[in-house]
Amino acid sequence: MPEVYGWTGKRLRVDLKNKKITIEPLVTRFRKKWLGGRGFNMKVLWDEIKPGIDPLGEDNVLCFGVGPLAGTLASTSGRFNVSAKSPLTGLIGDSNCGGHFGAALKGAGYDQIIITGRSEEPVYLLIKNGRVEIRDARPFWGKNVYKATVSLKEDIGAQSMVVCIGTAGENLVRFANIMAEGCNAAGRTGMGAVMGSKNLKAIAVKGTRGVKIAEPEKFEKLAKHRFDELRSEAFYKAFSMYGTTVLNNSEWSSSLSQCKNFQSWNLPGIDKLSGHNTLRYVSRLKSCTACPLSCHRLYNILTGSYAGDRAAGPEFETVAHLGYLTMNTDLEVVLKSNTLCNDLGLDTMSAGHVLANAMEWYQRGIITHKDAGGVKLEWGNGEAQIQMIQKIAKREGLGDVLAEGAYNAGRIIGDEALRYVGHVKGMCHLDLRQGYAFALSRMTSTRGSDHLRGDPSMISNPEACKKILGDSKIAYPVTIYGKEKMVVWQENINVLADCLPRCKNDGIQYYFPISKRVFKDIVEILSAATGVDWTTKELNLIAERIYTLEQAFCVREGINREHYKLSWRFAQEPIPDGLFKGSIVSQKELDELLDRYLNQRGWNIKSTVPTRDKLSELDLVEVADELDKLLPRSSWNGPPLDKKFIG
Amino acid sequence: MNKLQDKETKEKAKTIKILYRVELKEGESATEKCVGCSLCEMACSLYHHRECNPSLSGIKVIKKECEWINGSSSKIFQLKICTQCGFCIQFCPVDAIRIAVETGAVVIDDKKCSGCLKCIRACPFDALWYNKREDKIIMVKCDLCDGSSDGPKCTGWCPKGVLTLRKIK
Repeated sequence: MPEVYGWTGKRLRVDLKNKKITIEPLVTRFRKKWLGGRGFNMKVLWDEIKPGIDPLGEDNVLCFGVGPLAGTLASTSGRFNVSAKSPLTGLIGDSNCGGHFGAALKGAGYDQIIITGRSEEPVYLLIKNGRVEIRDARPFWGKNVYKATVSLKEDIGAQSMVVCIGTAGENLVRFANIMAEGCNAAGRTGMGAVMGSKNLKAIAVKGTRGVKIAEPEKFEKLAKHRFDELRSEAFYKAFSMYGTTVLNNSEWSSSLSQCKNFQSWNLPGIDKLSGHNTLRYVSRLKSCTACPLSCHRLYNILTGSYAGDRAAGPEFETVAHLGYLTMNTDLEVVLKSNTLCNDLGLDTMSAGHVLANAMEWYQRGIITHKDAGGVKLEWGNGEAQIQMIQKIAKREGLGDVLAEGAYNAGRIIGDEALRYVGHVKGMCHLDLRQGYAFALSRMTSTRGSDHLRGDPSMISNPEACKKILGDSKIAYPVTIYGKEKMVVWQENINVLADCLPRCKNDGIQYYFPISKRVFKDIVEILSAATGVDWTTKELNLIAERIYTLEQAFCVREGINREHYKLSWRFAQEPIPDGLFKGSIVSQKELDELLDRYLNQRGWNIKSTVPTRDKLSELDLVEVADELDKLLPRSSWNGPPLDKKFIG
Repeated sequence: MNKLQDKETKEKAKTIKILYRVELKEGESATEKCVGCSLCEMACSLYHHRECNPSLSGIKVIKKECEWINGSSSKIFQLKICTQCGFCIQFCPVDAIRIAVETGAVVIDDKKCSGCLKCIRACPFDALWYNKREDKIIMVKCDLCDGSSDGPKCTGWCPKGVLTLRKIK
């Protein structure tokens, strides 16, 4: 077999029901078509998941994917994607995660793991190069992330990299996450619940096979160039010290201060949650594999009510969701909440959303403190937040409903509750009334409202828009002008980042300037690693292909144009105070912008279904055939809920 | 049994004016600055073996991140690299270990090495390793990158300046 560079050319297929393990080759044509990581995963999701299945049932397929640059010297390449049908939304579940697991999986000799079926008993997967075993996880089941990670390593050796779920995943909390080494999270869309539903506690990997590089000298030179570039950026020092909490510092916080479930943008005491204050708890900086940025932090709480608490983080989004959104300005409560989420295995963002919604429901008398088991879900009540997080993980009392996620909890409680949930397609993120660029990217995200699918970093930056899109006017946030171009560009580069892999903090989104050469840079380093001659045109096509396939998956699950509507608050109420007071986006303008976006993507304007022409252009004719065969299907309304919540 | 270098090499060794090794800047406390990125491991293995593979790297970043869960985070990354002390040389039964003339680095000749692993057992610093490829033993240790003019790869790639090339004689 000819030498494969970058990729390993192999993937693992694990059938948990029949305890069968097979190794499948990934041929050149496949690798060139789907690139890696998220691309490999999406192809499997389309091919192997039948529409309408229960994401918590045994027919869901869980994939871990890495790209050709994983496990190499390329800057920030130590990441992986985990994907399945999402228990939270019933649509694309996909989460990107840092740490060392991605490089370890690649080093063991695999580009992807596909996990099907469900084990009768709790198990974990052990991978040591060619030795792959499904092992008894009963001694670890019931343990949270910290204890499970430590005990697993005592069993299999400290140098194996472990990803595992906590009790939240075991209890099928719909936004349960997967934790790598107890520090890095595959946070969003509930992939931890999918693992829990399969009785899969953990995956442990150790690899010594390495990653072959086609042109080592050239590759090293290109990698070093990016490394030096990053380290000489003006922002490097701050970012490698504060990590993402740099956005919680006062220079930034007023442009990100949405709180009280979006009822306000004015949070008194917000500076108590600054990155500066958080730094006082940090004991160590850490990096993911091959990253010079060291944006990750370990903290310790030494004194006070939560003395002894320790965890990795917090990230800006955690502070925003478990601090700003719930009006909690006690930093130690936010840290404690983060520790709980990391140990129980819960997405901090979705946890913050459901708590903020619960607090608004409580504020409006839609739920009472009796419903909440005596917990007073008042704004800024830190103890209530901490107690409720634990109840959610245990599915206890009101926690059982909140464990369904904000959108589904709203469905269960009733329309009066659902109206306050600020979501798109069942997932929540932050406010989108500031302007049309974010409103669009949250609408068009293929995993529901989210920032990592396509929040455009060029917004309000006329220079960047001129350099990259050729038109500086696109930068102005309050018009719809050119926003479809901006969001499509961002969505495409984000797809590539999740395929290579490359961290979005590395000049893809936010923090560091996005070079207009970024596509070209990727072509060069990818070619030197894989020995394949890539072109920017090809890479762009791959990005379009993957994003369009994700849309096809969503459409197959019942998504149509009616789901691209602003939720109640975002449609009705201008931002009442703060930096963006008075700001609102209109559904009418947004509809016009969506038409332009859908045209640019080559998807049908009325139905959002990718057109046959576009699918042919992307070499996805079989997808067009399948979409044509779709019976009139019921419109998406979230994932199927447990019988106990219906009727 | 001749455990020492041959006469010629010994003569040459006497003429070495400068000896180097890669060290932690600021001694052991430098490990607190290490962020566990493994760029040193990737760069070393890429340079010597044309692949990115920490198990083929002459510098190792031993990750004990979980120790932070139970206690302190100060020792979660431990760096190991050959100090070029030469203690292993006397244990090699086939004289596969010699001192490179230009740098004073202790180097293993893979062609002569019989894979007995006695040197690994002897190393007082646990800074000598092996990797098995298709039944062939590949010995792995720091060789100061053959005295390349850019300096050893690891020191150039460390983003936190933890490593330095030091003259010790």
